[in-house]
Amino acid sequence: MIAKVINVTKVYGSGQARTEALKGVSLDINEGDYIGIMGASGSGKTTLLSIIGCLIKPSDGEVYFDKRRVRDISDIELSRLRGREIGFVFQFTDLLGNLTVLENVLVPVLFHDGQIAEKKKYAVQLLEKLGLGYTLNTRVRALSGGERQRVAIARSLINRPRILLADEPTGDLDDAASERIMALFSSVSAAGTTIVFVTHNKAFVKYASNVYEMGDGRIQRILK
Amino acid sequence: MNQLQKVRWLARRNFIRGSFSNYAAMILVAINALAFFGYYLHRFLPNPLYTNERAAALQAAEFILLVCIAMNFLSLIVIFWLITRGRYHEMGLLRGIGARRIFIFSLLFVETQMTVFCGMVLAALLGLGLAKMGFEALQPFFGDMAADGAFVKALLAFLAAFASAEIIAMLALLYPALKICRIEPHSALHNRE
Ligand SMILES: Nc1ncnc2c1ncn2[C@@H]1O[C@H](COP(=O)(O)OP(=O)(O)OP(=O)(O)O)[C@@H](O)[C@H]1O
Ligand SMILES: [Mg+2]
Repeated sequence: MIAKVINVTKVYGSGQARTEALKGVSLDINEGDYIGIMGASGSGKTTLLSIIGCLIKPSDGEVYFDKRRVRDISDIELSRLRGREIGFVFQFTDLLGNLTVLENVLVPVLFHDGQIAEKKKYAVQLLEKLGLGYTLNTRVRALSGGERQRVAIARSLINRPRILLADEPTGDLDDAASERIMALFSSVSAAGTTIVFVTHNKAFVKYASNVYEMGDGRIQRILK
Repeated sequence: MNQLQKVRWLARRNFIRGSFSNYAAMILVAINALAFFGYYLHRFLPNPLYTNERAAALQAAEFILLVCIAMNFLSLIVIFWLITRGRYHEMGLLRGIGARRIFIFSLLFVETQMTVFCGMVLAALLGLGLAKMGFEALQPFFGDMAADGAFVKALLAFLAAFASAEIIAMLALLYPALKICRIEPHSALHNRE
């Protein structure tokens, strides 16, 4: 068991602006799982993923990461988890505008024990697998949306996380580039990394071992 | 690579390719250093010929320097506040991918050190230029530079100015930096707007 979500709710805002994003979600994620999450816009997919990734705390319910209750873990320790054990691909891709493609991929190494120089080779490998070998030293400001997204994916994998959480990793991409990413994910999964990804594309369901459909803040159906 | 080297790895890149506001901060630090230098030099090395005669005028000049320093301090706070506020998203992202609060704080601290260093270099250049151009005009304010021990006193004034400008810059950074390093990682989740 790598993560466990038990009857979790999440409420944003209060009064008029109150939104119940999650209304009681339970989910077990085991080591090596390859989970796909689908569902309409606003159904709470990003919220669920960020709760699993220790980015936000639930309003109610319990989350366990690695058998530890997340609410008992200190901020320092949570940062450690986010840097080392968890790889996160944000829905709205975010890169550091002052850095080049390669440097962006290397940033998480700052939060791990390794040396930047030692990780360069692996970073280049990841970028090449994602079809970005031609643009290693460009400042990221100049990149297209799809290129940025692939840089973010390489960044999420650089520290070899135990669990990869990807929020619509293929959102901005054409079919060929999307297939490339799913192929990379499959090889990462085959190497033992747990993956949870959100997608709107039914075609990618075939890669996952479990697929859940969310709706209205709940897991509505198990598609696979 | 230890933790400080890692902070510097990122700080250097942010600094070199960084924003326009950095230059504004740099200039303010430079002006501050110059004002402090003038103030200390006058304190350590007053012109004996004029001190009594124009005491009131000199006191006014000193006062103006202090006001200038205070205003610069406030401007620096505003600039650092603007700089850090414009970087909320970036810092939230760093927190989201594993940065501890202390990392964010150190990053801002080190970047500001770089700004201060460049500001000092700028101040030294400006100071030399000023001294060359307007030494006569400034003479009533300072004592005889050729006198015994004057060089040591001028050097002391220079070091004191350096240290004071540094302290002012760090004080100005303190509040904005403390505020932004408390940022929660979820700010990385939302679209940049
Ligand atoms: N920070 C926030 N403050 C207020 N409301 C929020 C916040 N984040 C999400 N919400 C609301 O919570 C609900 C679920 O949002 P969430 O982002 O989890 O949906 P989603 O399934 O990821 O949607 P999409 O497919 O469009 O990305 C939405 O109604 C959204 O408006
Ligand atoms: Mg979403």
